[in-house]
Amino acid sequence: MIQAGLMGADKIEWMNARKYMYQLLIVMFSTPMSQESYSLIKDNVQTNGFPEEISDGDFLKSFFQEEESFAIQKAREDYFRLFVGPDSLPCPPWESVYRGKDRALFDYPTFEVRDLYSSFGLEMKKQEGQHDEADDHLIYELEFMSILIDKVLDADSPAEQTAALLGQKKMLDEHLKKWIPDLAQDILTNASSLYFQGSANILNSFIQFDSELVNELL
Amino acid sequence: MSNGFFNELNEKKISRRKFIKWSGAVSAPVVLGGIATTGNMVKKAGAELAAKKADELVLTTCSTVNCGGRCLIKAHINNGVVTRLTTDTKADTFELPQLRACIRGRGYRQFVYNPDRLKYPMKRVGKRGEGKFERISWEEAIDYIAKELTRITEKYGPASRYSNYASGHSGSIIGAGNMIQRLFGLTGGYLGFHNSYSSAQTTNATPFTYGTTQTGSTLDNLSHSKMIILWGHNPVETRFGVTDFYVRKAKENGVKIVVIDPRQSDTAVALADEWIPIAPTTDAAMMDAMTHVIITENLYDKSFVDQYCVGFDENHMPDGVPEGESLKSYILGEKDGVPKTPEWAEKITRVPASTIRRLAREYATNKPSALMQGWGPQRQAYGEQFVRGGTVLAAITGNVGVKGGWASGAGYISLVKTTAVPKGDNPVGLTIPCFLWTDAIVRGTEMDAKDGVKGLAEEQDTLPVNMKAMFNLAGNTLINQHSDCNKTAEILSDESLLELIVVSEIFMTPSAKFADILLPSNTFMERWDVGTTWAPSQQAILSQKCIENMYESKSDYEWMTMLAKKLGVEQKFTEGRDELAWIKWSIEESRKTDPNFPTFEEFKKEGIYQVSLEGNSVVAFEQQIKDPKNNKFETPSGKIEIFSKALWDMNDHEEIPAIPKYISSWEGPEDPLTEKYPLQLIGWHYKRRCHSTFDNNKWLEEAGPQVMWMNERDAATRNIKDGDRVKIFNDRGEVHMPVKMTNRVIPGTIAIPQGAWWSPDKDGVDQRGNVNTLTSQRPSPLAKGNPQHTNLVEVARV
Repeated sequence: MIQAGLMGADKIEWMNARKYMYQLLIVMFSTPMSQESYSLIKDNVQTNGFPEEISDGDFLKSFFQEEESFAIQKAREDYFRLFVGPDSLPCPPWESVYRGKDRALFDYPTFEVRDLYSSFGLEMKKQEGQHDEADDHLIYELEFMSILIDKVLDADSPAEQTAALLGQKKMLDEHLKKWIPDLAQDILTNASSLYFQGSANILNSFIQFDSELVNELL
Repeated sequence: MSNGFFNELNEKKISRRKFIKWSGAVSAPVVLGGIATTGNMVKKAGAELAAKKADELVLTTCSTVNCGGRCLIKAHINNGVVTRLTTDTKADTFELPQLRACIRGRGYRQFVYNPDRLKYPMKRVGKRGEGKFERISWEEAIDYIAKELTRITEKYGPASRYSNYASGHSGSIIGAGNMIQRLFGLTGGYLGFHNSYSSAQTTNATPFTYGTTQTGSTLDNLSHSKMIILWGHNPVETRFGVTDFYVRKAKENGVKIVVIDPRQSDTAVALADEWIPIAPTTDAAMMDAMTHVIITENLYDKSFVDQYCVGFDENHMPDGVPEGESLKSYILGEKDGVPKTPEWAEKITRVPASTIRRLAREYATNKPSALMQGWGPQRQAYGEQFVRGGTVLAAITGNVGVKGGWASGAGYISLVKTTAVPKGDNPVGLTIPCFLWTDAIVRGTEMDAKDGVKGLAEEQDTLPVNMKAMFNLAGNTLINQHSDCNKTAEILSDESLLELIVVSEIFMTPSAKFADILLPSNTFMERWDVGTTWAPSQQAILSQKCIENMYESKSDYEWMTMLAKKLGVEQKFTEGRDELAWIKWSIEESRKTDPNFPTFEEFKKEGIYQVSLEGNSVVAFEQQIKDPKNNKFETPSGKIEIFSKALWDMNDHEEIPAIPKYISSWEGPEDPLTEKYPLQLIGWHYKRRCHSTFDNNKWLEEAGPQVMWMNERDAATRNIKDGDRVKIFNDRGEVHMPVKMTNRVIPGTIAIPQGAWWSPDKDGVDQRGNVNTLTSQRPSPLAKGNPQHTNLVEVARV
C-alpha cells in the first residue's frame, strides 16, 4: 500500500516504470514465448518510449513485423536452445557459471544472493525433495529487484525505503552488473531470433541504466 | 537521506526528462495469466532473517558411473549444496591402500553442477535423431510411455521389448537397466541380453580353459612374482580397482614389469621396464611363438601339464578327437606344415623374433611370474584366441595356482560381494549377445542359436519378433559406444523399425538425440547406491544421496515407480521400498553370507567397506593344484583344458578352434584390404573419461584433449605434421580430428581414445573424434563380442 506522505504521484509512477521493466524482463526470460506473451509485449511495450540509454537495437520492431506464428515459433526454439536445453547451453542463465572458476552452478554467487534474499526475509519456493533451481538464476535476481521495488512503494518509513533501495543497489552492483554484460553478449552471439537479440540489448542496457539510477537515488 | 529522495532527482545527472519519457515505455504491468512474473520467491519460513550457517555436513559418496576405480569421495555439503570434494586421506598401506580420486573424481562437482544437465522431461517433435524436443511434464511422459509400451506389447508381444546394455549408472544395487527389466518381467517379459561391451570374449572364452571366469588372485600376489607381463593391460589409465598400486609395489620389490601394447600407454611409461609394441589383432601369433620356444627348448612344466591339463600333447587328448589336434602338434606345425616359430610370428606381429624368444625364456624360467591380460586385446575380431592363448601360457609354465603366479584369462575376483535388487523372472526367457541389438532390430526373426541367441525352446528356431521398444537408460551404447555409428544412426532413424525409444540421461549425449521420450536423470550424488570396482576388487563404497534432485530430474527408480503404478504393478515392483530401503535390504542380504559386511549404520559412518589383504590373500585355483583329488576344475574333464572338446564339438574349427590359435584377422595386418586402407586403428580408455562419461567436462578436456596418435613415420609419408587436423576414413565413415605425432605408437597403427561424443556434421563426418564412426558391427565368432580394435583405415590431411 502506498504511503502518500512518502512519495508524490510522479515518483510512484517512476518506481512503477522500473518495476514494469523488471517484469517485462522476467516475461522475456522466464518462459518460452506464447501467443499470450507475444500479444502482451506487442501491445504494452513502446520501444521508442525508452530513454536513449536503453535500447533494444531496433530488433523488437523488426521482430513484430515478422509473420506472427513464425516469429513465435522461432522465439520459442531460441528460448530452449539458449537457456533450457536439452542441448549444451550457449547462454547458461546463472551467475555462478559466469563468475565462478568452474563454469558450474552453485559457486559463491549462489550463496551471496541467497544471503541477500534472506536478509529481506525471502527464499526460493521449493518442492519437497527437489532442488528445482539455483538461487542465482537470472529470473530470481530479476524477481528480487521487482519485489524490492514494491518494498519501496509499500514502505512505512524513509528507513524502510532506504533499506529496500540499498538491497537493490547490492543486487545491481555486486551481481547483475557483473555478469549481465557477458550473458547479453553470449545471447547476441548465439540467438537466432530477432526477439532475443532485442531482449538481450534491453536487459543489458537497462541493468546499466538502473544501476546508475539507484546509485544516484541513494 | 531526506524523506523524499526523488525530490533531489532534478539536480542529479539522470534527468527528469528521461524519466518522464521512459515511464511511457512499458505502459501496463506486464503480468500474464499463465506467467508468474513474481511468486518464485516466498517469505522465508521461520523468524530468522539472516541465513544461519548450518554446520558443514560431510557424506561419503562414490561415482557409480562405469568407472573402474571407484575412489572414496567425501562431499562437503553446506545448506544443501556440495561446495567442495575431498577424497581418501587415511594412511596408505600395502594391505589397505588409500582410495584417492584421480582427475575424474576431482571433477565431479563440474559433472553434478554442469549447467548443461537435462532439466525437464522432453518429447521429440522433429524427426527421430534430429534433436528437436519440447518440454513436457513427468505425468505426460509416463502416460506416453505406458500407452506406447502397452500398444507395442499387444501388437508384437513382450519379446519385442528391450533394455539396452548401458553402464552409465553402474551402482551395484539398484542399476537402471536391471530395474526396467524387473518391471518388464512383471508385465509379461522382455528380450534380455548376455555379455558386455567390456569383456564378452574373455568371459566366454576363459571358462573353456578353467571352467570359470573367476581366475583372478588378490593383488598382493604380484609382489611375490619374479616378472609381470601386462598384456594389453593399462591399469594406470583404466583404473582396475587399485591394480596400478600393487604393480607399483611389485616394481618397488624388484619385480620386472613388461608391457605388451601397440601403444606405449601411461602404464608402460610409469611402471614398465620394457615396452614391447605389437601390431593389433596379432597377439595370439606372439603367444603361439612363445609357446613354440617354451616347447622346443623344453622350458614347460612337464609334470604340471601331465597332471593338470588336457590337450598339451597327443598323449593327453580327450576321446573322439583325431590325431594331430593337440597344442604341441599345432605349434610344431606337424599337421599344417607351419611351425609357429618366433620368425614366423615376427612377420605377423612386428615383434622381433629375438624379443619373442627372450620373453618366452624369461617368462618360463622365472617362476613364479604373472601374465595379466587386459581386456583391450580381447575386444578384437578373434579376441577369444588371445584369451585362451594367455591361459595356456600360464598353464604350461605351471604358473596356475601358485603364489606369485597368475592364471590369466578374465581375472575376476572380488573380496566384497554386494546384493543387487533381484531382476525377477523373465517369462520370455530369451537373451541375445548385447552387441547384436542392432541385428535384433533389423533381422530379429532370422536370429538363431548361431547368432548367440540363448533360451530358444525346442520348437523355436529364431526370435519370435523384431525388437520394437527400446529403453536406453543411463547409457551411450545406443550409438556412441556401439560400433559403426553411421549404420546405427540409419537403423535408429527409421521410425518403422523401433517404434519407441525411451532414454534417461544426464546430458544431451549422442544417444539421447535419438530418444522419443527423453527423461532427465539425477546423478550419483542425488541417489543411493553402492559402488564396487572392476576386478580385482576389495572394496564397496556407500554412495549416499548428498543433495536433492536437481531441477525436475529423478532417479530411474523414482520414475519407474511412477510407470509401475501406471501399469498396475507398483506394489510388486517396489515391494514397498524406496531406494534407501532397498539399500538397507541389500546390506542385510549381504550380511547373511559375509558377517563382516557392515550394518547400514556402520556403513554410513565409515562410508566404505574395504577388506584388508592381511589374512585374506587369495590365489586362484590354489586348492585344485594343491589337492587335485578333492578339487576339480569346473571344466567337463575336471582339468585345465588346453584342448576343449566342447569347442571341438561346435564344429567350426577354422574360427572356433579347440586349442588357442592365431587366426589371421579380417581387417588385420594381413588382410588384402590393407592395399586400400593401410593403417590399423585401435581405441583406448582415456584417463580423462569413463568411456563416454565426462566428455563434456572442459577441465578434463584440458587435461586430456581428444587427439589421434600417429607414428612419426606414418605421418611423414602422408605429409602430416603434429597438430594438423586430419581425416581418418574407411568404408564405414569419416572422422576429422587433430593428430599427435608420437613414437609412442607402433608404426602402421593409429589410436583414437574411445568415448568422444559422436558429432556428425551435415555430411555425416564426425568432427569430435569418435572411434566408433570407423568400427565394425561384425561380431567375434564364439562370444559374438564387439571387435572394436579391429579396423583398417587411411589417414590424410583435411
